[in-house]
Order: sequence, then structure tokens, then C-alpha cells
Amino acid sequence: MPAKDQGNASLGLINNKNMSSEEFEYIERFYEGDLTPEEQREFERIKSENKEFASKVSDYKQIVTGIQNFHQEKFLNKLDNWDREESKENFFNTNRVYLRAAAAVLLIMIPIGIWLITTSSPYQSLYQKYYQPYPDVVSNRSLENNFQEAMEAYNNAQYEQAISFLKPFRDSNEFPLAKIYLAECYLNIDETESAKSIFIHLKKVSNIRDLAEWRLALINLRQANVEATKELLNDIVNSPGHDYQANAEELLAEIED
Amino acid sequence: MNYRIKDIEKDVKDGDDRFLRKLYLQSKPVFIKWVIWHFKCDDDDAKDAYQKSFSCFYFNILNNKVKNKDIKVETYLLGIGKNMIRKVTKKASLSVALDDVIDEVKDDFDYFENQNQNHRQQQINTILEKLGEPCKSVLYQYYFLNYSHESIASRQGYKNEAVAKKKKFICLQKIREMLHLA
Repeated sequence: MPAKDQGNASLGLINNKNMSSEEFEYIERFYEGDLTPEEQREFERIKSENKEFASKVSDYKQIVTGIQNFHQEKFLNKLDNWDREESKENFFNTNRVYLRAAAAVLLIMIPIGIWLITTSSPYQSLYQKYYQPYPDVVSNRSLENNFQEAMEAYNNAQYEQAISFLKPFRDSNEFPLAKIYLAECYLNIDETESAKSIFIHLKKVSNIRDLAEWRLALINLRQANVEATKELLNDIVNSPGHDYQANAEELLAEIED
Repeated sequence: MNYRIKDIEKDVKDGDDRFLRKLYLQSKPVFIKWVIWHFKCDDDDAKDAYQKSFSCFYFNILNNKVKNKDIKVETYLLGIGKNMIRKVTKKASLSVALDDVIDEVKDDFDYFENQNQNHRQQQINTILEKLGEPCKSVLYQYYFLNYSHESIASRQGYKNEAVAKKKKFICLQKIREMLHLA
């Protein structure tokens, strides 16, 4: 629209307090640099001469700036949300291993708990009270094939996997420690007889004898062989310097109660 | 991340939020580390500077203010960041030799200067929060995303750009009336 016509058109409208689409467009063209230099001068002239029009120009500017500010603020809020989401994701990723472990423990513990509640006998309870899994005391694993993997599985309570690594040591006379862990694995998966036969064998190994005797007493207790348990415990109590003498005395007293 | 501005411009302008989020989160660690290293500021100031620098980067893309589109996004962000961190930490005297960081964006980060939440702005915010469709989308696309009337018509399903323009002015009228009633 030629400047003069545009100016006249605006002049015809600016006396009205309502703002038409044409006025909005005229003002917008000014701010977007779409007017010719001559049109711009005309725009400025009208604005300076007519307060009503100047007020409309001000309104337009405020509204458009207001819309831009509003969305800029919204955009900053969006960035805040992304930061928060990222923090949550990082927390979950960082703790994923622990969360999985906790879930795994729960999955294991719940059925065990139910089983214990429903099936425990007094001897079973005593067994649970006195049985402590043999700790990982192996310092040098590189000497033996598969032993490192076996101990990792053992420490993670993956007893069946540990057994698969430890089985080759069963018939060897060179590494009795591996047999202890193998027997412990069997105890933990309720293959009590397999564990028993290994501990009977280990009674012949001097530095493991005390542990083997104590384990055999516990295994008999678990199997509710009360008399055999008492006999084995008495043997331990009557062996000066036995590693499990105090435990045996205490357990014996509990059984006789 | 080795994007150049020209590689990401279209995705950013298209309003692809998933892409923008990825860009925002991927660019953050390098920026934060760099700002903390050079300006010895704390983590919170560095994060604040990053958020504002990224916003400027985004607004500059939308407003076609980025002149050199061959520079890397990372370099551009750091260029804004070295000015922004001074504002955030209010340590105007901070200076650091950063020959590897561009200077051409030094005037392009003034968005936060005019954001005084005066009474009129609050009134407009209230109106915009309540504004229904299609006004909300049309005004957002034209005044914030800088889409053309043609693009808005296509996105909104209007017959042509004249319809988009008409709708836009009707929406402005509506806001003006509500402002005068407020």
C-alpha cells in the first residue's frame, strides 16, 4: 500500500479506540522493517501527531514483547525440567547396580522367609543360628584355574555356578580350600549329603579338621540326627584348643534345653 | 559432539524437542567444565550460565542472528558463555585469554536484559496462560519460533498465509481487549 494511502487509512482508524487488523498490520510492518523510508517517515509523523495511534503502537510493542518474554520464560522452565530429568536418570543409572542387587536379594529372601516360616523345626532354627558361611579368605586366586570365577560366584551367592567351577577340585589333593567352598555351596543349595561327604573327607586334613568337625555336627543337626549331633559336639567340647569349642558348648546347651 | 550450526539449524527451527533436549544435555558437560576451569566459579553459577547461554543460542537460531553457520555449536555456546558467566557471577573484572573462543556473539545475549516482570508483563502472562487455540499456537509460532505465515498456515491447516495472518491479528486484538479490561 502506498505510504499516503496507508497513512490515510491509519488516520481514518486511529480515532477509534478499537484496533483493527489493518492497524496491527501497519504497525507490524513498521517494526519488521517492511515499510519504505517514505512510509516510515509517514508512520513516525502520524505517531507523533496522534496520541491515540501512539498508544496503539505502544500496545502492539508491549504485547509482542510480552509474548516473546512469556515464551522465553517457558523455554527456561523447559530447560529446568530437562536438568531435573537428567538428574533423576543419572541417579537411577548410578544406582542401578544397587537397585538390581536389592531386588535380587528381595527375590531370594522372600521365598526363603516363607519356607523358613512354614518348615522350620527347632533343629533347623538352631542350624540357621549357628551356621555362618565360610568367608572368602583366599588371597591369591591366580594360582588356580577357574578359582577366581568360582569365588566371584560364591561371593555373589551364585552357588550352582560356583559349584561348576569348583567341582574339578573335588578329587584333587592339592587344593583343600577349594573343597571347603564346594561343600559350602552344596550346603547352600540343600545338597546336604554332598556337603557331608566332602567334610568327612576334609576331617583328614589337619588345618581344616576343626571346621570339618563343626560342619558335620551342624549337618547332623540340620538332618535332625540329634544323638549324632550331640556326640560330635561333645567330641569338639572335649578337644582342647578346638577352634569351635565355645560354639559347640553353647549349641550343646541349647539342644539339651 | 561436533555439530556445526548449519547441521542443526533445521532441527532446532522445526521445534524438534527431542533433538533439542539431546543437544542441550550433550553440550552441557564440556561447557560446565570449561567455565569452572577458566572462571573458577562454582557449579551452580556454571549451570546457570549454561542454561542462559543455551537459551541465547536457541533464540539466536530462531531469530536468524547466527551469522557464521560453519562454527561448531560448542564453540558458539562457549562464546556466549564467556560473557554470560560474568553476568551470572557479577564479576565484571574477570578477564581471561580465550583466543580460541569467538567474539562475534558478544552482542547476541541480551535476551535477559528486558525480562523485567513488570505489571504489564504479568498481565500478558496471565492472558497468554488462559488463551485458547488456535491463538496460542499461532502467536507462539509467529512471535517466538519466527515461522512465516505460510509455514503457520501449513501447520495449522489453513487455506493460505492470508488466513494465518488474519488469525494472528484477531488474536492480538483479543489480547489487547483483555489488557484494557484488566
